[in-house]
Amino acid sequence: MFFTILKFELRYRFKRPATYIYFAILFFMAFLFLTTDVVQIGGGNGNVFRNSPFTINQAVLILGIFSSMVCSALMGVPVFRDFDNKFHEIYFTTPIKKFDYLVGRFTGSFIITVFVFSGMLWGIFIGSIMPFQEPDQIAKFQLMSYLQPLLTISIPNIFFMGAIFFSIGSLTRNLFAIYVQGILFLILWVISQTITKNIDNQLLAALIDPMGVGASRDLTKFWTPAEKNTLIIPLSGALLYNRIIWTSIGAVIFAIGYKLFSFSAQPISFFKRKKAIEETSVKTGKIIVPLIKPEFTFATAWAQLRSIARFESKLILKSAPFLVIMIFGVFNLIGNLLNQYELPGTSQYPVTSIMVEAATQSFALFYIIIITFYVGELVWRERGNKMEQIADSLPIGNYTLLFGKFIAMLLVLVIISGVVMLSSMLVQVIKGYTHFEIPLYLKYLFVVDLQGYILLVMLAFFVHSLVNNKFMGHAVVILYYIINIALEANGFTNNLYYFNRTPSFTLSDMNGFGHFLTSVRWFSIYWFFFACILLACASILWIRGSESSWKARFKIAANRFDAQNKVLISTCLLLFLLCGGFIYYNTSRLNHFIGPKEMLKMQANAERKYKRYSNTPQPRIYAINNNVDIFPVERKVTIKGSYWMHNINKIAVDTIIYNLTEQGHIENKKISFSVPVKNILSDDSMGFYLCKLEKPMLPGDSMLMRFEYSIAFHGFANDNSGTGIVENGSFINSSVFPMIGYQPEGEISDVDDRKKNNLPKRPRSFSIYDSTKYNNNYINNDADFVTFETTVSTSGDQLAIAPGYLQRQWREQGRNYFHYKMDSKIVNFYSYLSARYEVKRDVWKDPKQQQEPVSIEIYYHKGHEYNLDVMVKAIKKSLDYFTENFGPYQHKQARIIEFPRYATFAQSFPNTIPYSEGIGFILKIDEEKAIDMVYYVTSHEMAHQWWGHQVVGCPVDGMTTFSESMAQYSALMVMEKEYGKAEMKRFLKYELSNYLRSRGREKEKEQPLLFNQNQQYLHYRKGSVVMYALQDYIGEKNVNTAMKKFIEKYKFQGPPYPTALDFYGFIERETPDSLKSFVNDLFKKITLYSNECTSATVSSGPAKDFKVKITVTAQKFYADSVGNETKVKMNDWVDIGAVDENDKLIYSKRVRITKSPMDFEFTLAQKPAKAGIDPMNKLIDRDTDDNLKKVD
Amino acid sequence: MQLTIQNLSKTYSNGTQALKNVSLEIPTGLFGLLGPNGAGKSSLMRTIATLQDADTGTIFLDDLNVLENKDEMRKHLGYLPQEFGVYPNISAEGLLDHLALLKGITKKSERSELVKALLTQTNLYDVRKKNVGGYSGGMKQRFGIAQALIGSPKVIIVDEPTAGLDPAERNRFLNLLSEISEQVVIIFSTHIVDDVKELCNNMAIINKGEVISKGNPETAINELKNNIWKKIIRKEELEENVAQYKVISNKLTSGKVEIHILNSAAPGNGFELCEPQLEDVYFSKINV
Repeated sequence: MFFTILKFELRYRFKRPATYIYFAILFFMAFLFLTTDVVQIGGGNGNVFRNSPFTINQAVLILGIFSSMVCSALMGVPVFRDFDNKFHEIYFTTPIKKFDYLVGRFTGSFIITVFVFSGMLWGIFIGSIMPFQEPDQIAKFQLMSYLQPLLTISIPNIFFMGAIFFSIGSLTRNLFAIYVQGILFLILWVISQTITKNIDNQLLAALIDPMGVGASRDLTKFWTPAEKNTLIIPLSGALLYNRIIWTSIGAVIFAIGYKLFSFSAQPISFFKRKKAIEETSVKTGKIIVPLIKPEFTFATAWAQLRSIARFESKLILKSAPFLVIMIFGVFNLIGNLLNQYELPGTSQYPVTSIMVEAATQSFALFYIIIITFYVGELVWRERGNKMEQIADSLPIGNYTLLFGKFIAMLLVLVIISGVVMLSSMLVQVIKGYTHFEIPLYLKYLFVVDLQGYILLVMLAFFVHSLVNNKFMGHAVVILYYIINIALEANGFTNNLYYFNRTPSFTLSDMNGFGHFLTSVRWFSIYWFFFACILLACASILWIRGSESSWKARFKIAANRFDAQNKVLISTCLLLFLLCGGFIYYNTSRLNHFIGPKEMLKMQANAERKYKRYSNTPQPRIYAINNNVDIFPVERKVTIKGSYWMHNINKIAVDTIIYNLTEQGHIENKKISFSVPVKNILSDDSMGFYLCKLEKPMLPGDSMLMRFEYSIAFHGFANDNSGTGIVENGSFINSSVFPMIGYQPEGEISDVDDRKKNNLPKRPRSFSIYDSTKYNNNYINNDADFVTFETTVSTSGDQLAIAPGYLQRQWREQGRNYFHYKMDSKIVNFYSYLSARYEVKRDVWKDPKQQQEPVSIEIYYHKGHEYNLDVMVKAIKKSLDYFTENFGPYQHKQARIIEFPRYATFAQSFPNTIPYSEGIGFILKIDEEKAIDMVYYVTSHEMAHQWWGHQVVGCPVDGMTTFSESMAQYSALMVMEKEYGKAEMKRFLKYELSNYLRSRGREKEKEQPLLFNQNQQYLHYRKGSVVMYALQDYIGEKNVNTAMKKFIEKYKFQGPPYPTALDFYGFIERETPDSLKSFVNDLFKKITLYSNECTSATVSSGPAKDFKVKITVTAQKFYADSVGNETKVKMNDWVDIGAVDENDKLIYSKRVRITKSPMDFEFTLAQKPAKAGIDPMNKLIDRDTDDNLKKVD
Repeated sequence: MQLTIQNLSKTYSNGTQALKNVSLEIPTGLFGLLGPNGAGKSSLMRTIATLQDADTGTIFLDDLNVLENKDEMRKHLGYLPQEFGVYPNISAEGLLDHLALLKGITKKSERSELVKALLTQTNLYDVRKKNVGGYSGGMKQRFGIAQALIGSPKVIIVDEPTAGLDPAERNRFLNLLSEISEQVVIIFSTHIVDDVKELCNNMAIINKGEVISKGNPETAINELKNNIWKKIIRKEELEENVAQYKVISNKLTSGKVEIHILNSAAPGNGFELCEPQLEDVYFSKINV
């Protein structure tokens, strides 16, 4: 009997569409997790594969918990179903045994739920073999990495949740209880997570989490990326105990439910039961039904429409799945918003522009789920409730009906957006921010963001009307999403042929919506007319009555396609085409649409055609004079300037090559030279020009090049590019000015893209031993140090800033003019900025009085005053440290200039530091955590005035070592002065983990720091760690002495420019012999340590002191460029030490480690909390957490 | 006012011929549609109710071509399908009000007056605030009647309306129909022959998609006068009687079988003449 019931349950369930829908939901969640960033669970990042065993486990865990409702819907109903179908009276009167019935139903549902949950694994598997996946993010298939989470996570969790849901569902026999228990379970779990977060005992915390998240975390917390990629999470330790405990508890719950269940018609209820509706006695009196004549006017249709909209939206808003999805969405939203921008010691002010953007992104998936699901419900409402015969014969037009339902969906969307807005504001309040910009919320959420969803609703209506099968309809809509993802992944971006795709844009405090909305609106309107046609077709195809064969539908549709519909559809079609034409005119005539693939092709062709000129001798720029007129509203810049150029070659120059970027936006170009030339080649599409000098330019000769052109943005483009010139916050740099000679910058740099375009491999930088490359610096190849003078003008309400000192400022024809001149020579690297700025001024005075005062100016957007003082302070402290240790500051001014967050970086130009609003101005500095990013970034950029602007490398290996790594070092030293040594640990730990994570993403080869090929994770992240260790080992003073000498020798010089080997020579000279091999390991090798404290004990000494005994192990490895490690003999000086309860270092001593393990003893005046090896994490060690051990 | 159906034929895509050349003239008043299960009653009613198209043939309500102007027809229609469900979580009052609005009763005051009257008339007023989904079969059927009466329709189509009603309710309902039938066309299908006899001036009997009889019930009964003979026999004798006579019906009566046969002359052999009932008309049309 048991097997009969089990088999029946399985057969029944496998026939139900719900089973496959739930399967599909989990499948797609996992699929999206693996293929996009839509579903973010955490797990796959850095060098952890998207489908590593660790990531799969994480995804199965978290998605599984979020699927508690699916589990409830599957496990809660098997007994309820008999009641719902009113079959229980027949069923319960058969001679069926309670055991067979309950256990059979439970087992069947359990198997089905396991099947449904296995959808996640299929989603991950299919996602991992999608052709668009980048191969370096995908691990090889390993069966165990799928079986493990199924066996040790999903199955026990389904059993535990299932036992609860089955018992409650069977006892209450109440659909509402079945719906709600899943949500309640989830909410309780989330709350328990927050509570157990603060439990000190990690084993306990791991055990009391019934879902095993804590236990998994406990097992894997020390895993390195490589381990995450290869190891299967073992069923041992905390996880094993956890599984045993909670499976047993699940069994007990099931047993209790079993005991309480009886074959009675009355359920156990926790609430007062509603009385059944009683029949009322038959009244016999005669009632007169008033004779009311219906009327059918336009007003009737309007009233019908409103009534349908109200009625249908109420049904959606009151439905349980809607509430569930909303609760999920809001949870997810608030969680995401609370954790925005996680950097050490830093958070962001929750300004509305950032919050509203993040909120809409977080909620996007939920909008889509609701639209997908409920448009299907709306279309199927009558049939789903078997009310279609009554409803279809009502005197209501198809359009009224369809529009009513459409508006119902819009009302629901508006309510969702309201919820999103309130949730976002709630987070602002939680974060103590109350400057709500309600109009911005309203515009973004209810106008801009909603447009796309409305079109989606229209599409879904069409699909459901056309397909005429609810589940097929859902499938088609979901297929549409998948096609979109695939199109995007394959570089298909032409919005003219891509339904509902509009240019993405960034909201900025400075520039608001900027010019972006124009294009968004046009594309929205364009697709709106298309969607109107779809909606009209939906109404024509709408099923009314019982005719559903295609033949009959076609006949009906032909009938409905009457004059009115013909006019409507052809009007929409006409408007659609007109908009399309206008868009085409804008994107492809006024602008030039080039897809990403086509762009690469053009780059490849240019390289093939022009690379031959890369060694053609060119004169060099030595003086620059520019007139720049910025027209922010018109989005136009007029450039009129000149270069003085000099033939520094030993041979005559007979050809001049120049390049212009911003192709397609250059107008009224006029280029002339002080000597006669003949234009040989003009390639406007690539901005490559070549002219022949009629008389060769002899070595030592000079000439003048004059250029005049505008860069203008007309109309709108397919994508929102051109963020350099905007209404408020323009920022352009020297790359928009003519560049002399062949520019390798324009070549494709990505290895894979080069391969796809049949280009030969190309090193990221030249060999450090190739002295022919020492003649250029890595910033540009057409100038050395130049003189610079410029006049810049902008609109009357804005300030314009360029490098140099302001000579004169005046107004002319309502515009502001500024004349800047630089008094010293600069690298050919400058910028222009223009916006409505507020200015904060201060002055730095040299404490040693060796240098003139430096005026400090910060140009900021009104309202972004939060961190101005920190910036000023960082500039001053930087100037203090750098002038003392590296040499004088070459300018009389230091300026920070804010620009919109279209890019999030700060960049150092001569005496000018453009600084994105996104990274410094609205960062919230957490006083308790001390180190803040603003201080760090500001000192880093200040340091570049020395490292990069006084000395600059050549484009060979190691080019950025003494610009970027030295800037990191300089910032670290300034920070250490401010915050103390102990605080540096947190920062360095962040840098270290970033380095360790990033090296797994390396596409070509990891280089030793000294030979880095402009790899950010090396010159920034590893640079910090290595330079900090260097100064700690050989002494800050010695490092600075070396650097001062280095600067003195090379400043403002070139060619030949110094290389990293020159830099290293200065360091080596200050390094004692005993540390030479260590310093060599730091710079010239990829060195990794594995240090661990295996035991730490303390005993009270005689004089109230504490004797600490530790045993440490230490190993050293050299890694090659792909990460293969070779163990080498350890013979290095390493710190041992101890910290107190607050992780503050109370003891540290450097010892030579020659063997492993080694024992050490030391005596302390206070009792340490932890002791061990390398307590400050100065060495590169993948597991820094085991360096210190709690003392017993 | 008259509903004229001419040569209506319909074949479903699975090959079933639901209607074969059906022609009927239905004047105001109650029109009974009799026929066994699957005879095509519902198909015919759905077609009149604009929910289904015909392959050939026309339906006219006076001058209104129903099949061509469905929207217009719907303005004059009250329809109670044989089986229907209701939306979840909504009260009878709320749903009726919604339907009344969709039926063109736009004035709120008029609507609530109408809803109240209909609910009282169908004896649902006391439970008007209750969820319709929780109604018993009879209550739901009454609700269906209430909604069909909204907006003073000219044509009311009720498909087996008395199924699920207890005798008292059935009587009330039929009274209600006959009261309003003076002004409107009411087509109601049933397989309870007595319903038709008691109420209808006109009727049609349909079998296998064809109209096999139509007209006034009394006339039809009179046509059979002196042609129906009955006899009480033992069960074992049924077979030979069927072979021998045009047996139109048989029914059990205290352990024996009473058979009716159709015969123009006296068959003798223990058969006695009986007064024909509408039931005999029905069975004579269907079973012979």
